[in-house]
Amino acid sequence: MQNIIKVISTEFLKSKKTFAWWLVILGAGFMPAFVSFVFLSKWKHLVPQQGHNPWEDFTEMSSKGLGFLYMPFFVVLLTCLFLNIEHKNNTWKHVFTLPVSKNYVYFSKLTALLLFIIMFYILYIPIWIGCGFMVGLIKPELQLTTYVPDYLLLLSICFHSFIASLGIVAIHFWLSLRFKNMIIPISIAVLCGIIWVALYQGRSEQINYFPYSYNYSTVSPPNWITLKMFGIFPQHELFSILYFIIFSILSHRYFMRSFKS
Amino acid sequence: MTLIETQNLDFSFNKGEAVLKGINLNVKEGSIYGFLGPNGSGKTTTIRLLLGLLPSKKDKIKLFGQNLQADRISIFSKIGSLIEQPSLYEHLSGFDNLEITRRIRNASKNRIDKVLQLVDLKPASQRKVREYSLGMKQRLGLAIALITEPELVILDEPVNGLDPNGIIEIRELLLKLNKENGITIFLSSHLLSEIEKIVTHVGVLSKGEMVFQGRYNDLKELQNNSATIHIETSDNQKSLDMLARKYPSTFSENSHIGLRYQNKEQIATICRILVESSIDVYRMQVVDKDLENIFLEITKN
Repeated sequence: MQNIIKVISTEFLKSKKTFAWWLVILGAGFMPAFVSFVFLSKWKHLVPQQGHNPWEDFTEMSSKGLGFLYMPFFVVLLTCLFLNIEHKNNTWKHVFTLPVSKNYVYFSKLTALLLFIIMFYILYIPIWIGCGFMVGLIKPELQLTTYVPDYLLLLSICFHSFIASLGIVAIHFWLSLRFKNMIIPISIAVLCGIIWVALYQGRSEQINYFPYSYNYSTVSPPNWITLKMFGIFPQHELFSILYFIIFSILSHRYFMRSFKS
Repeated sequence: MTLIETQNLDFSFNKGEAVLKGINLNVKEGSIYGFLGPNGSGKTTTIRLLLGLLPSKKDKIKLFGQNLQADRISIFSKIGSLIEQPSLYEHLSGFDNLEITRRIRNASKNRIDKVLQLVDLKPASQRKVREYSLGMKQRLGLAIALITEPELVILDEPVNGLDPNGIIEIRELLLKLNKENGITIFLSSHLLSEIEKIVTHVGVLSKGEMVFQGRYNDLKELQNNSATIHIETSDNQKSLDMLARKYPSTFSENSHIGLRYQNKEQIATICRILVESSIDVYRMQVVDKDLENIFLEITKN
């Protein structure tokens, strides 16, 4: 256990001074900053009616932005950048001659990547709250300082958004191992993004099986499909977990048997 | 004790032509083993097999007497390696590169300072590796290989691309590690002249086959055996006829005749034979073949 923690800690050290860190920091700040800008520029339309908590609008706008435009591509880019550190520096051959099992190497990379994504949410939450209160201070008419946000809802959105991202994390982890040129997995993500928009516009029921749609489905479930819940998880989040398991097994098999340094 | 041992090691990338054919490596503890061969002879493939970077058949490779496939982690904890160009995280400092390997190999923190001093990189340790020269990168690669005081260091072309000063620095460092720390060194090169000053043992690879393996002195013995005497006289044909009776190896070449050199007394005898036959001797010269030529001949044949 101590060994795997050490190996994971080296993954963080390897990512030091790379764009992956900036992506997490800037990424966590971008959507709250963008929504704040919208609130400040369109504030007259957003002044809440009597008894309405303005944080509900702030939450809805932020989480839809996060789910639609942002979260799938952020996850894809982060995954590609993370694995590209070894590809770009041609360091796999060094990693494989260290006295650590390939299993450790695989799981430490996957764990570190998941921790990076969790770190994004850890940064996102205080930045989002800070931005909301700052907007409230600048424009008191918006009453963001009068009310408080629903913190439990915020945590729940972040948790479900993370679960909904797991499918594409595993798919792109596998793709990034298979293709050393990161343009290929990114192009696949762009193509899948277009397919998702087409499925959404076409009000297709198959959207429930398409992992690139899961983040948005979490914050805004498609109204043409009956939402099936399994405990705390909607159906598409369970599918996301299933995709994660299947593609993690695939990438692990590939890494252990065929991956060449 | 034999640290590296391969038995009839074969390898081919596709089902076609074999890259390695029946290699039997034998590297003894405490030696500096020069693994020589022209480019494309299979040196890097052999090293990648030794380090488990390419798949090999069971029981073909033993390091420290242990089977590579069965005891990979135990073996790698005693080995430092540098394969082709050093594997470095160029966006990080030299110190951070060392720290990554130190953590995984469980070396103590003060080892970083020690190896940085050893390879003379301490002043540049906080600079990003992408700002390093090739020589500095090679030295950092070596420092990474030495972070845990390994018993065996495997280096693939460690002086490739270095200037003469860089080559001398690396050579001296390797010699020091072998003499003072007792580290066994296995290093490959395509130029004998780059490593002949430090190696104790040599293996020569040509077209995937081991064409020579032994002590460096054995290779030098080959050099001595291939020395010839060139003689230019007033009548080369007559001299050839006379000397061929005593020395069957005598041959004629351009403006001189030649025969295999045995010892200095032989020169006096030849002189006497020719002078007594009233032949004027214009030139007698012992011509050594340098090791580079012997190496080329071995690999050519």
